[in-house]
Amino acid sequence: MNNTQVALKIGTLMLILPQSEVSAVESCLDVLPANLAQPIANVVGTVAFAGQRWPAYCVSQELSLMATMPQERRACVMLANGNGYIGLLCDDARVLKTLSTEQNYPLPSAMAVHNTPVLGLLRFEDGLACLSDAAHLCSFVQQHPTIQ
Amino acid sequence: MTAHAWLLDTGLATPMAIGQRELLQIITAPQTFSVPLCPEYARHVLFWQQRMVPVMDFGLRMGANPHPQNLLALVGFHDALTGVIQLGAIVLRQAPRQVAVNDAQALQAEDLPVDWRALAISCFAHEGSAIPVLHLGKVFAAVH
Repeated sequence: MNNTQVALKIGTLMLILPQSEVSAVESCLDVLPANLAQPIANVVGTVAFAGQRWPAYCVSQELSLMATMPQERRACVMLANGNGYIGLLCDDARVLKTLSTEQNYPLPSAMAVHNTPVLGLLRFEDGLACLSDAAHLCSFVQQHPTIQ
Repeated sequence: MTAHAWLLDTGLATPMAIGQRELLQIITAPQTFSVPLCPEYARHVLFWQQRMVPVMDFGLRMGANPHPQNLLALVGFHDALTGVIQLGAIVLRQAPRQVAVNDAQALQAEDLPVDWRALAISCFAHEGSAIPVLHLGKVFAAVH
């Protein structure tokens, strides 16, 4: 079983998900601004992958959806959502081959909210990382109320 | 019969109580970590003896103003759902105070404000107030 993980840095947030669920990492330079004539809710642009263009989403370190892309976002990870892909912008993405999963903790029930992509927590380097997966991230950005 | 309880000042007009054995430790100046998207009153965790502990600002949850998380009551309680001892931390405004409570101080649940009834296991009279005894399993259970 491949337990290799990918850590996405989004501001001060570290988001960790299985490497097997990251289809590719593209440059944010390949993200083209959203088509104002055919807007998709919460999308900052579209990114080319596997012969098509897919919606790209940008979130803050508080996991709030953003209407514009900060300069720090340099990469766009492609996540499969069952019907295709979405792009999620991050500052950088790195593979963690030696991540210990012994100290993973489920999100305490009192802290859970509907549709959160945060499934668990992990001591990581000097701070905390949030554990997630592609399905929950896709659901979160696509079901999030439309940002104004 | 007399039992002992801890009175916790969480910033509300009336303190709340927990059982004597539920208070495990007072933690000062803890290192806490913020978790995105969580309710404002339960947005942080700390690590204690290889365990992760949710931190709850119960005063904020019940309408008080936010308060710096520099004094915490580490509590342990039996979780009826999982059958294991769970940990939680409650943000305090000042150090807890121990009181002795006897049967004559017992009150009915109806003596508590409605918002409290679902979170209290019982209540008692103390210095002219109805003091709720927290049901920690419900306090740290899922809200949503």
